[in-house]
Amino acid sequence: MMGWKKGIGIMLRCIAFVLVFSMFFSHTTNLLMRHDDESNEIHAFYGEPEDSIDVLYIGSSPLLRGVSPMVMWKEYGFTGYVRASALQAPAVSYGLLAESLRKQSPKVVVLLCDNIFLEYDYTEREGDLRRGLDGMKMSLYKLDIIREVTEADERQSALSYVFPLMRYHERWKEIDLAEDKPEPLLEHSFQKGNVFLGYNAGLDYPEGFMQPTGQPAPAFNADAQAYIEKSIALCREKDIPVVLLHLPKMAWSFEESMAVEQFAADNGVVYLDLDREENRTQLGIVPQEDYYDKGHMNLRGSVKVSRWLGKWLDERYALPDHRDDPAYAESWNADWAEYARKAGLEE
Amino acid sequence: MAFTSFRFVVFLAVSAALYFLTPKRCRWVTLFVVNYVFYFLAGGRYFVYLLATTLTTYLAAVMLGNMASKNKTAFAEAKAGLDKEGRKAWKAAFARKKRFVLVPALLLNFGILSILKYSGFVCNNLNALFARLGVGGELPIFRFLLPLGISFYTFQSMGYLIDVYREKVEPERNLAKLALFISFFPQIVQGPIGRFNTLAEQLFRPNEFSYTRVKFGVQLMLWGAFKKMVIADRVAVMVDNIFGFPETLGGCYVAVAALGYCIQIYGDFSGGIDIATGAAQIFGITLDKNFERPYLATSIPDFWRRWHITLGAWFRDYVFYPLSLSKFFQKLGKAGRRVFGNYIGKLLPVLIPQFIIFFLIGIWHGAEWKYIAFGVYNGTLIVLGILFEQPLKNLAKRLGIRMECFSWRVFQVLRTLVLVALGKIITRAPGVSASVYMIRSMVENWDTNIFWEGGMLKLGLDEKDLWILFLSCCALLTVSLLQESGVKIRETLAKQNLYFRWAVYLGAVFSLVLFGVYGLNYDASDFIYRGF
Repeated sequence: MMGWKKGIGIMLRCIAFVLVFSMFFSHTTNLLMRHDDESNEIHAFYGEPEDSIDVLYIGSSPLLRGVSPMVMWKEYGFTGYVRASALQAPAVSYGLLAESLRKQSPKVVVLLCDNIFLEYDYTEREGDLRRGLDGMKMSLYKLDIIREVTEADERQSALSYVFPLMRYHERWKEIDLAEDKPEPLLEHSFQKGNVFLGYNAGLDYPEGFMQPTGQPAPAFNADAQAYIEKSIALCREKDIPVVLLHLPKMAWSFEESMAVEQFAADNGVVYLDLDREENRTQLGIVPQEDYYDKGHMNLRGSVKVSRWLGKWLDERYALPDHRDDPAYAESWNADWAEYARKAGLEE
Repeated sequence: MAFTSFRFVVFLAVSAALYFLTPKRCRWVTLFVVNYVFYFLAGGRYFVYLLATTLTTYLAAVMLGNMASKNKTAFAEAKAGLDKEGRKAWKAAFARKKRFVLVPALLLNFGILSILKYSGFVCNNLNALFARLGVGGELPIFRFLLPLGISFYTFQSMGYLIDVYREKVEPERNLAKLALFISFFPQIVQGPIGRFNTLAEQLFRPNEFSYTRVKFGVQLMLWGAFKKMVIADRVAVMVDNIFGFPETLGGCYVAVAALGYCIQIYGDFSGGIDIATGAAQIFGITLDKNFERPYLATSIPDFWRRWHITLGAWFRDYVFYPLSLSKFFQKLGKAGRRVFGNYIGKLLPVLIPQFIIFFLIGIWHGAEWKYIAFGVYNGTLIVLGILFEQPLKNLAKRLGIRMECFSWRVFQVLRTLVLVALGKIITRAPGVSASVYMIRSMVENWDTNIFWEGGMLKLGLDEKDLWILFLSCCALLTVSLLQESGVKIRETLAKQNLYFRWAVYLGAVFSLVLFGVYGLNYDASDFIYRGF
């Protein structure tokens, strides 16, 4: 048997080795990991002070591109954060909402509802999944999502989600050590989860857009529906009102809109469809100018949407104006300045 | 649960922790339980085969042991009244009696292995033969999934039974202890095939925790994982691409594939054995050596003394010697001397059993004609090697060739490597005719485009991968040469400064993490010998 002194010495050496190893591991992870805008924005949410977000937006790319909490701050003075990634899985949306509500107590939660019709195949969507999951800190919610993903797709390992280096290790071939530096995920975002796109696709609405066709609406995807219902239940438990939101999108139909409206009514939540004619008119959307592609607003469109939506939320939920509150003003005004500069908006 | 999986690492760490936390007298019980949990997790429904082998081996061994002790008493009483011939007759009669226990146990266990592994192949070929002969009827073909490690644990347990029969070891009367010997989890998957007289005592005794030993075990496991994940699985991409199109690529491609496959199978198999040996070492158990730098062998017999050593030793002890020393082969030797002269006649009781065991080793690898061809190929090389050893030495002497110098050794190593690589083509090609075609193309269609026109880059590995492969192989060769010259790598490393050691450990772990072939973009590559 070894003496206790020797034993402690060995233990200390092992701990020291593990620390050095962890340092190198984290450094290498930061060097090789894919840094998508979405991952960064999702991660930067953790940098927001506790209970400082008035409106939380959860969903996928139409939200990511089309809703700007900074524009709303500028116009109405309430705070918000978009936690969205392209083709975000319903499980990820629920996980993001649940972990957000542990730290924030928003006055209202806005859930994007378009994906309720979408069948989400984990075996085909690994890249999209990682955009969202890579930005999430480890939590029981994240572990639940990982379990669901790895059960559905046995090629994927849970370990590669816990330690992203196990997934991105082969990127060593793409790295130029002279130029690429290790970058941790973003700790603070001036965009508050909104990643806008400048390109204008110059599109026209498809013929008969949002006109009744007499056809039945496609069925909801059972998993997506279950996760939205779970999200609504969670918000209800915390006494937070929920808005089911549909943002302007050319691949949308009257029947789908009616089906979601019914779903919202059944679940006792508000439904807001920005493709309904009355809303479109008020928004002043010009399809030839405001779309990035058929599914997403460009910057110009997103500013219109954010101004209109901000007003709607402000009036309906009497959101606070923090613009003169010193606890918010300095940081949010600085972020607005940065945002306006990047977006080319007037300060 | 693959050896290179995180699950295995966790399983091993938990098992080792449980083992050393268990009171000393019960440690073997923990090991036994851990083994069965491992086997159950690996494929619970095949448990019955392992249990059948364990139970039959136990019963047969205990019966043989009881017979031996009774015989000992009876013989001691009768000894005085027996002359030399009488004693001989007594022993022969007792051996015959023991065979009534041994043979059914051997038949049953090798029968299970044969049915699971070879029945499909045999029935397929018999059906083809019946069809050709115009005989009606068709045998049903059953496809069985092989239970994990069946070849290895069957050989290990039957080796033990034969040792009990030969009264070389005492039978183990504790069923759980015997079950532990047969199912020790690091070695059950792909060997090495253990012997009761060296392994059992280590398994049953309460081994103490040793930091140095655990460290050495982990180092060996890392080295094994490096050979498997960085070298074998990387070169496999290239090898698969060439062997996947045996009739479209020229001779140079075949040569590269053959060499690549030599590297792959060595990295794969010896890597797995290193992981098994390292894992066993953590528990304080030293497994038998299974590899001794086989590609530095100077002849085919030397190669087989260095490659899968425990399988070769098993066949030597339990098949070759009994055959070679049997009355039949002794008589055959005498008859051979009369017919072929002294030189060949004297060698016949060696040559034929040698050929037989290499034929059996070929079949052991799998139920396909190509493995039979592989056995015949190796058997023929061994027989020719023995037959011509002396004449070739005489010829070299006459030609004034010095056989003790470095250049001759290099020549011998390269010659052996070429012969081994040809054998590897037989086992890796999709079939015997494809391997013949590939070997022929090395002679008839020596197309060198692979080297000059970026051919190497069209085989699934890019330039950076090829560099990693080259550097890793250089590391492997350097370690092999150092070991061959007597350097003990881990002991030497342990004497270095802490900073240097840590740099080596970190380098090893990160080369695995970064350069290992694993993850979604690669096909999961299981250990090749796990399938045998």
